[in-house]
Amino acid sequence: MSFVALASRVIIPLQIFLAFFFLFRGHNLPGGGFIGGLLLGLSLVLALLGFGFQRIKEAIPFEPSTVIGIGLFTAGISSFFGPLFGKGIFTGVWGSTVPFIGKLSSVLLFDVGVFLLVAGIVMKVVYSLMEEEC
Amino acid sequence: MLIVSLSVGVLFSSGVYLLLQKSLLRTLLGILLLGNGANLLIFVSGGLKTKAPFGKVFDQSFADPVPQALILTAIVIGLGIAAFFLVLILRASSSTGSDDVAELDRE
Amino acid sequence: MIALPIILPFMVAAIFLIFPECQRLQKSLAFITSLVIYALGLSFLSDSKTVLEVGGWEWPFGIVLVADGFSSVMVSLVGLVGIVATLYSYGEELRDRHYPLSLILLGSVNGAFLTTDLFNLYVWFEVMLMASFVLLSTNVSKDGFGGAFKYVLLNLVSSFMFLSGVGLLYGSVGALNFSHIASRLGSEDLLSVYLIAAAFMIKSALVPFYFWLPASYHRASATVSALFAALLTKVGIYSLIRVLSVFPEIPELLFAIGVFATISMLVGIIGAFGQVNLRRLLAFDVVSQVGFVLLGFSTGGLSSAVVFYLIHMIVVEMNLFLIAGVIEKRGNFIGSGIIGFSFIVSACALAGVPPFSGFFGKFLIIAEIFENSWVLSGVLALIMGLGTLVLMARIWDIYFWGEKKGEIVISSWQIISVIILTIVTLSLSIFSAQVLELCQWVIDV
Repeated sequence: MSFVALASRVIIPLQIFLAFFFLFRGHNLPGGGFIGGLLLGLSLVLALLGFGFQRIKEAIPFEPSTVIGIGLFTAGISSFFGPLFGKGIFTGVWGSTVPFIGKLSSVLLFDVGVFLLVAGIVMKVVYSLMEEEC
Repeated sequence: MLIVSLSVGVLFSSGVYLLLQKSLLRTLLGILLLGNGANLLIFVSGGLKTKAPFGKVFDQSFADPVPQALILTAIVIGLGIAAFFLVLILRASSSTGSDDVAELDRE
Repeated sequence: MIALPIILPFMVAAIFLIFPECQRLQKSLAFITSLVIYALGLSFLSDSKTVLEVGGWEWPFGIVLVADGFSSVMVSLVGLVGIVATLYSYGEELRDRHYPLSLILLGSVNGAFLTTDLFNLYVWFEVMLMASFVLLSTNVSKDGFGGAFKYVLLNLVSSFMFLSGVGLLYGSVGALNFSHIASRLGSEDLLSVYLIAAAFMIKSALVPFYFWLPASYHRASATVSALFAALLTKVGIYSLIRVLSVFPEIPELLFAIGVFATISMLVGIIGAFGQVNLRRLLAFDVVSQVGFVLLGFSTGGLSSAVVFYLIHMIVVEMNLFLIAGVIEKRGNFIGSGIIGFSFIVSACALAGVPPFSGFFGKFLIIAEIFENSWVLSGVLALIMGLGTLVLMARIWDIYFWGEKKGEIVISSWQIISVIILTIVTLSLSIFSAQVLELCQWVIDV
C-alpha cells in the first residue's frame, strides 16, 4: 500500500472529526460552517489521493449536487424559524444547550447547511478535476 | 498600518500584472492575488486594533467585527470564483490544447 | 414576506439540485416560482413601502430589505422575465442544471433589487455573477470560451473594484446602509464612490467598459442570452441609479456618466451596423440603449421617464433576443406571420416609433436632456434613434423578406412566450399614459 494511502487512513478520521468540531464551535469562537466544510472537503481530497477516484466514487453514495442541494435547502429552511416563533424572517431562535454541540438554534441549522454546501462544492470541483484528468 | 497598506498595493499590482498575462493559469493566480488584496484592504480600513470585544463596555481599542464578517464573506465568494475559474480553464485548455489566451479567440 | 422573492427561488433551486433527474417537473416548478415572484412583486407595489430588517437587527446595524416603488416594479419584472424564459425553454434542448441555475440567478437579482445595504449588494452581485458564469459556460459552443472568459474577467474586475470601494468607504464612513452612508459622506470619500460607480458602470456595460457584452451574449443558447439581456445590465443600471440617488449629488461623476453614456449610444449603433450575427448585433444595440437610459438619468435624475424606459427596455430587449433565437433555429426566413408581427412591434418599440412605448420613453428622456442643456447629447440621442430604426429595417430586410426556404418546426411554446412579451409591449404602448402615472407615483414613494 502506498505511503499516501497509509497516511490518509490515519489522517482522514482526524480531519472529519476536526471538521465537525469546527462546525459546532462556530458561533462565538473561530470556526463555523465555512471552514468546517472546507475541512471535510480536504479529507475527501486526501482520500482521493490515497485511494483513487474510482474507489471513492463507489464508496460515497452521494452525488455532489445532492449534497449541495441539501445544504442550500437546510440553510434556507433555517430562515423560516423566525416566523414560526412570531418574529421576522431570518431571526435567530435559541434553544437549550446540548452537550458537545452547544446551544441549539436556527443559526446552527444554517451553519450546518453552509457546512454541507461548502463540502459539496469542494466535492464537485474535485470530482470535475479528476474526471478531466482520466 | 503602513506595512499593511503597502502590501495591499503590492498585492493589487502583482495581481493586475498577472491578470494580463498570456498563460491562463497566471490569470487565475492574478485573480486570487487581487482577491486577497481587496480583502486585506477591507481589513486595514477597519482599523488595526487588537483587543477582542468583550462584555458591554465600549472601549475605543476594540477590534471592529464588521470588517471581519465582510472579509469572511468575500473570501468565500473568492473561493467559489477561483474554483469555477479553475474548472473553466481546464475545460478550455483541454479543448484548445494549450494554455494560451490567444487560442481562445480562434473561432 | 419581502424576503420571499429571494429565498423561494433558492430553495426551489436546492430541490432541483437534489433531484436532477426530472426535467419536466423542473420546468413546471420553475414556471410556478416565476409566477409567484411576479405576483409578489405586484403585491409589494400595492402596499406602498415595506421594510424588513433581516434577523431582527435594527437599522442601521443590520441589513434592511426595502420594497419601495422602484424595487417592487423591478421584482415584478424579474418575475415576468422568469415566466417568459421558462415558457420559451420548453422548446429548447437545455443542459441539466439550467433550471436551478436560472432560479438562483432570479433570486439573486431580486436580492440586489431589494437590499439597501452596500455589502449585501456586493454579495448578490457575486451570486448573480457566478450563476451567470456557469449558465454561460455550459451553454456555449466550443469556440465560445473566449467570450465566456472575457465576461468572467471583466465582471471579476468590477467585483474587486466594488469590494475595494466598499472597504474604503466603510473605513472612512463606518456605515453600510445606503441612507446611513449618505448622511455621513464626506468629501474625502470621493475615491470610494468613484470606485463603486465604476464597478456599476462595468456591470451596466457602459463605455468604456462594455467589451464583455458583444463578446459573450451571442455565444450562449437563446434562452440564456435572453435572460442575460433582460436582467444583467439592468441590475447594474438599477444599482447605479439607486446608489447615486441616495448619496448627495456629485456633479463631476454625473457629468462623466453623461459623457460615457453619450459615447455608448454611438458606439452601440455603429458597432451594430457592422455585425452579421444577429444576436451580436442586438448585443451592441443593448449597449446603446443602456447609454440612452443612463444619459437620461445623468441629466434628469431619477424620473418617471427613466423608470418607464427601463421597463420598456427589459421587455422589448428580451423579446428581440427570443425572436432572434427563433430565427436562428429556423434558418434565414420566417414564414410565420406571428413572429414577423412580433418583430415589427418590438423593433418599432425599440426604435421609438410612435405609437409604441419606445416613442413615449424616448420623447420624455430626450426632452429632459434638452431641458438640462445637454444639446449635443440630445442631438446624438436623436441620431441614435434614427440609427436604431435603420438597423431594425435592415434586419427585417435580411430575415423576413425573401423566399421561403422550407418548413422547420418552431416549438409552440417559444411562440407563446414571444407573444406574451409582444402583448406586454403593446399594452405598454397603449396604456403608456397610465404606466407613466404609475412610474411617477413609484418615484414619489
